[in-house]
Amino acid sequence: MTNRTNFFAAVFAGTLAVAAPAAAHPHVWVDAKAEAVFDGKGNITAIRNIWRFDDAYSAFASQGLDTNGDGKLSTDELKPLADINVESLKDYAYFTFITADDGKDIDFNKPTEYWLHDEGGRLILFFTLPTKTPVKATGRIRLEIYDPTFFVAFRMIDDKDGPIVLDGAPAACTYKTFRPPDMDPAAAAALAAIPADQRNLPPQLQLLADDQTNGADITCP
Amino acid sequence: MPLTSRPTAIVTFGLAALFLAAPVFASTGPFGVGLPEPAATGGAFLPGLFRFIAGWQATFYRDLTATLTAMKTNGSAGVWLMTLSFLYGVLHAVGPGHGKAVISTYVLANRETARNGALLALVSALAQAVTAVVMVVVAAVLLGATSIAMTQAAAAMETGSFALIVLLGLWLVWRKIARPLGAWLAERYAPVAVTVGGAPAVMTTSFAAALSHDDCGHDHRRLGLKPARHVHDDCCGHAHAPSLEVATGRLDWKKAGSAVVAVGLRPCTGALIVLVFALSQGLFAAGIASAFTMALGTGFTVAVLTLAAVTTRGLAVRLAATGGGDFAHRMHAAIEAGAAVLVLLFGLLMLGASLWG
Repeated sequence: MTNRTNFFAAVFAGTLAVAAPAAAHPHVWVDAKAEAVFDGKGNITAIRNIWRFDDAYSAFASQGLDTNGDGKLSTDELKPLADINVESLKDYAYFTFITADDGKDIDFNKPTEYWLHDEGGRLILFFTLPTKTPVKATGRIRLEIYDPTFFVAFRMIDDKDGPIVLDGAPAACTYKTFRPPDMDPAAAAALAAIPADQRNLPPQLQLLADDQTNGADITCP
Repeated sequence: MPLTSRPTAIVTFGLAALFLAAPVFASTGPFGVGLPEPAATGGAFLPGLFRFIAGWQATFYRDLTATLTAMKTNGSAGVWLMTLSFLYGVLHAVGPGHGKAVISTYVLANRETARNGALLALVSALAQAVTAVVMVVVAAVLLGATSIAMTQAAAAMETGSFALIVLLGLWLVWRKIARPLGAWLAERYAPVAVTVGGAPAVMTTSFAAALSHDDCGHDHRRLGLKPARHVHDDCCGHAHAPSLEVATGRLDWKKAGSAVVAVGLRPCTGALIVLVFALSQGLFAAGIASAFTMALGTGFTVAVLTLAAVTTRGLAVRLAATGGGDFAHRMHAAIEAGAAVLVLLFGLLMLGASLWG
């Protein structure tokens, strides 16, 4: 009976309209910088993360922490926040992922050192993540710093030293940074204008469908 | 008696779930400050599109905080701030969040009109803004609390909000499934005197109350109607010759209030951050205006989604009507029952994720 089929289709459509697709809203922006620490024998033994938060989130996070009321936030005053940051990040794998050349994911131990610094109203979190075992740096090692749930928007920063520092690496090692695509209203309009049956997206929009995240490929011979 | 044990079992199960859950602390996000929106479903659905929407939102949100800073030197940036706040609110409702799911399913389960649904959407979004403003005023301005304490309070309120959704779901399941089912079974199997002039006192089953309709001013048996021929709604909401679009008239705030509180109790993280940021910039009034404008935008989007849900329901029932009146009524009952179950499942899922996630 086609009428029944029709309204079951309608009910199904209604259910879909109600069921919310999930992906968190970005509420935190992080300019990320990372240092890969080498042991002098060509192994990576730790990643030092340097994350600068956006001003709104920094203001929120440091609310009530200026305990001596001098209008400045010292690293001591920020200690409780740094503690809870690092403690909470554990459940999110510190948003730091290393994949060795053979495709193996590398695990980290708990951060050995960490602190927060206030730079003109923007908080910077420093923390060192030791790898569980030294990672032989041969071939391509992918370092990703991103939040798969989109709550935190990470972006490798451009500064004078570059977004990645290879600390103690063999001279022949190089890196190539990748960043999330910029998405703005113009890109939205462009995406909306593509007919649904078109298979091949223009290159700049293809990025949206890719799994490209944020980080760098470190290549050693 | 198997029939009465059904709702009892549901309530027992719900309470047991709440008690088991009580001593566990809720998760407070990746930094321990600022709660991420809870997600009821996996993020794998259309990842490209949602990453895209997230990116677009990010643009608005960043413009918004930048405009707030600009207001320190340029008061006319206020108009732009309100525009951005509204747009951000509109986009915000497109992503996850329990507001739209709870409100639209509540509206379906309760057979509310499109107008009532839209009203509910707006009011519950504004309630969320009120929660955020009150929380920042009390915690940050009056108590000087840290963001860590505020986030823990927000997490507790979020858990409370989900517990309320579970209760709302239980209440809807009781009204839309357990009670009508009991009444239907009673009409079919109970040894009641269904005759003209039959005294309701004859009915000694536990469904006597559900059947008698004494408080509605008239009695169906006295009118000589066949019991199975009329539609049971919440007592007085029934009709003898029901139209296909039986919808309640004015919004019953006593009933709808529970949905508004369930949604409004959870402060929105974006609003909290913008408010505290505005406070730190000495622009708290602008922050409050922005939070309410965001809520208007969110309420607007949820209202549109609710309209879509109500329209879809109307379409389904109209299509069902071509299959016969009984079929349409069953359709109506099925949509209400389905929506009631959805609210309950959604509440349990979110509560579970919030307590154990």
